[in-house]
Amino acid sequence: MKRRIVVKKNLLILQISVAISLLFSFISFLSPVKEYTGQVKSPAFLLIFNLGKIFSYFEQQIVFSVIDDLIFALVLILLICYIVYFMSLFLSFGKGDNVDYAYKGIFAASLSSLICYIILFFVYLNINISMLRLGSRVMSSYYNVFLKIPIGIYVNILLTAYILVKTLVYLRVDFTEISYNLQIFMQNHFKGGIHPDYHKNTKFRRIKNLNPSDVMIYPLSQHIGAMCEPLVKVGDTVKMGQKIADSEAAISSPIHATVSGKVIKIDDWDHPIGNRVKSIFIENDHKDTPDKSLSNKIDDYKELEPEEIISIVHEAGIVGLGGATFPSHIKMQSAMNKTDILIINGAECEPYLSRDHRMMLENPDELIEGIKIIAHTIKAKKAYIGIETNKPNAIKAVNKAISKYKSKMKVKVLHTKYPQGGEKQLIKAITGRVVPSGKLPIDVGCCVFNIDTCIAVYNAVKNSTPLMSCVVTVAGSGVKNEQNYNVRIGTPIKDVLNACGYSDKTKKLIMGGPMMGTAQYSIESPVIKGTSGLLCFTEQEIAFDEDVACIRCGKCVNVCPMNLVPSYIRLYAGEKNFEECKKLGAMDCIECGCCSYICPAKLPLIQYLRLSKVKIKNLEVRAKGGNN
Amino acid sequence: MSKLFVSSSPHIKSDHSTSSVMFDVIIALSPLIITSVFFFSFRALIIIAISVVSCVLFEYLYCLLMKIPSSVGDLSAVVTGILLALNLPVTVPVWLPIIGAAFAIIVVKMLFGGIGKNVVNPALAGRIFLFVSFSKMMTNWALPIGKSGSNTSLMSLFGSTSDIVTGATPLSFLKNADGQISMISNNFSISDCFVGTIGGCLGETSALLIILGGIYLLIRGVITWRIPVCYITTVALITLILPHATGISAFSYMAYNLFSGGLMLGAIFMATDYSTSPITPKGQIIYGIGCGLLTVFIRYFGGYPEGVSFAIFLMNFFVWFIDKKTMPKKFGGVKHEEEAI
Repeated sequence: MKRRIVVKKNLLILQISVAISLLFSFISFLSPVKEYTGQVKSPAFLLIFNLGKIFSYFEQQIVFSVIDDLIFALVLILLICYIVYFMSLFLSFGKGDNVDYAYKGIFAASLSSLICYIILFFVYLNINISMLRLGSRVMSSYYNVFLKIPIGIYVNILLTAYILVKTLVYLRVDFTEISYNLQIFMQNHFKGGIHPDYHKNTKFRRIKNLNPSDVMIYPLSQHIGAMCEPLVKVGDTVKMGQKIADSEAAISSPIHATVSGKVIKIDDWDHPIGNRVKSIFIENDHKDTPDKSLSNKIDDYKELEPEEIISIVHEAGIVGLGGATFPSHIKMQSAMNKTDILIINGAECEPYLSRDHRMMLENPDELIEGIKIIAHTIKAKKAYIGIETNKPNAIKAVNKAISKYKSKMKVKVLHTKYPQGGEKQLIKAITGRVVPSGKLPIDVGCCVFNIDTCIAVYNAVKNSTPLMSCVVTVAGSGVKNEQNYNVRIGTPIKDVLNACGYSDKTKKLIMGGPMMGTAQYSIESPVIKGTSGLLCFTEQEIAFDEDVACIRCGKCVNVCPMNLVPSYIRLYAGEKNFEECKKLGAMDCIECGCCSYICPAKLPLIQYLRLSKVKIKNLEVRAKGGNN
Repeated sequence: MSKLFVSSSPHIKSDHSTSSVMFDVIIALSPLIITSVFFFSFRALIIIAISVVSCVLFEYLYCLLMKIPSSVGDLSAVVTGILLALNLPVTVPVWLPIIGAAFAIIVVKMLFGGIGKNVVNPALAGRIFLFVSFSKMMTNWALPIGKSGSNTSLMSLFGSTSDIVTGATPLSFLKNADGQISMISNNFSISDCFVGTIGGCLGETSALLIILGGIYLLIRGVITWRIPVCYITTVALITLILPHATGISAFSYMAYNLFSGGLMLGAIFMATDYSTSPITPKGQIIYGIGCGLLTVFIRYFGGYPEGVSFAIFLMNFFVWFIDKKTMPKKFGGVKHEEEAI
């Protein structure tokens, strides 16, 4: 609330100074340029005079004088600046986005008019000095040289400079961000990608802890792989951190209770993926009695064998928290001895989400320790942390932590574009290596982990704490307080949203980012491992466009990070010619959604690609069956 | 508790739409419209207006008759109308744009299935149709007002066709034999060609403004650099090498070829038409080079002084084939295929 008052006060000062600047600009604008050609001329007069010249230019009759032209051009630019000023002044009385546009307009106008005024100042100065040298009657002393420059120019230089600084402070233009952008100019980067509006409003706010709910819900499937079997019965008492479900299958990950209390039922319940899954319900006794497994602390991870660390990670139920939820211990097992570069994904290219950003700012030490543990386990020689240029303070914080630990890992600054956080794109941008089609990152000696996963590994190894909570970005215009929350896994989405002031206007609830997240049909389902964001979109954010005919603009080809041709794949998929789709590389699609985002005809390209992926898989299965 | 709306990702979309893309093209074309009024009197505006209105009307009527949802809202008919008018000389009778619009919209665009499905560029096909049917009217080039020698009074801005002085275009000088070719520099300087104070169609004279419009389209991401740059460079290189009649230097021969005639308008606004150009990056380069080669050869060996519209028209038929043969290699695809072999 306090900040809003400050912003309003700032805005008022800015509006007044812009108005004064506009007023003064007319004084300088109309003040005559005496003496310099013998006749009285004002810039306004010059402008009208010169417009006539432009018309006769095509007849090539009049030869221009350079100074006339310069003043004319400057005055023309100034005029445009005044128009922008004036319109921005109007806009600044509006609400919401309008004020932002107003600030941007005032910024652009003040910058260009400041440059114009400074040039005008030097033009006048030059004229006056040359007249002094020629022995003019009026320009008798150096004092007069400065005095004879119109006062409006002095006032305007000061005023526009003031307005410029004021808008810069409001817009929070980050100069380190600009310098990072210059740094990455010559670096490796992947082809394609898009620049959506990022809306990262939550990145300035500290992560808050959310109290667990009265009833916690644990679906038995929270990861890629086999579903877990419950280890508890209805009526059992469980402690915080106790394993409540596990599976014998090769690809699976156990599930832990995140509160202490009593198991009240085991039944089918809404799952964020969209189906109903068997879930364990625990009534919270709000005591948080820790399980005895949480008490053993390990001081030095270097004494542990890699296999021991992997089993700790397995027992802690850690999965890839970027959204894919692939069990981490399997990734570490397969990467062991085969990987020379460990890559930590701090790109966070999805709009709205800011949890990785906040975690890098708030827990850089835990992050570095976690990376060291993973690098030790998989015996990686180098470790890189990739961070996009739009998070300069995170880059600084992580660099500081690295120098504190005297670690050999490096921060790699990345282009700000989506999908920079895609595994193959990230490897290309950081190492220059290209993951062959149909292969895994391990095949090129790379292994990618998420920021969140590293911190979870640190907690599991150092504090013996299993994966119990995750940081969730709650954003969108459907909630009052956009905020990052540290949420215990199992908390119903309903309770998280109510803590932020959920409004009924929400038309779409998305788990994950807006580009790759899944729309939710129910707010009863719980937060699970891998929930990175909860976005409440009202009508102003949802795209309800109807698709029209493809205009063959080729934008989808230009943005595709996998270098596919989505528009042709759509044509063939529409014709049910999936063999041709396969030839065009539909199976390599990473489903980033760039093509659907950019399409001016609003075609559901990504849906066609998903359809052809499923159909091609079916065809392959059928072909194999035929051979047997 | 309100109902939640469920759909597949992505949940946000860009602000681009077909109509916003077309609107950008209209903005890029607007300087040409304004200067055409300066150069060729208000009659130019009348011809553009007739062409645009009839294009929109024909599309609307077609949709109405065929009982399909109207596609007028995407503004592509407006772009077709402007481009068709910019390809006409100012002296044409007012009914000529209507015939051209009817052919462009009904035969070339709508009968093939509407926007995105037409094989050739509608505006270009309309121009060629008019050119072969009414060639006398279509080659009656007017000289711009300043060039005609008459006084530039405000009255002549509103004047009728009787005030307009016609004359040869630079390209028709280039086409002629040895004796005439040196006449070109007496009549038109290269800077004349660049600024646009030469005879020709409404929109094709000012290379400067066309390039400015092209830069705007590039910045807005409407077109890519590949087709225009490849097209213009090809023409520049070939005309530099080709032997030509004595009288002017090779460099000025190239410059006249670049800045006069419909090359700039064709390369920046016609060849980059979405429906009738390849969408693959390599394909766009091949298409641009192909257009350039055909343009020079038609101008050099053919009967007409002007070759741009025929060159683009011919290349339009190869678009599907070029696309098929130039599918880009997928990211990480090269090594994998080598291993498979």
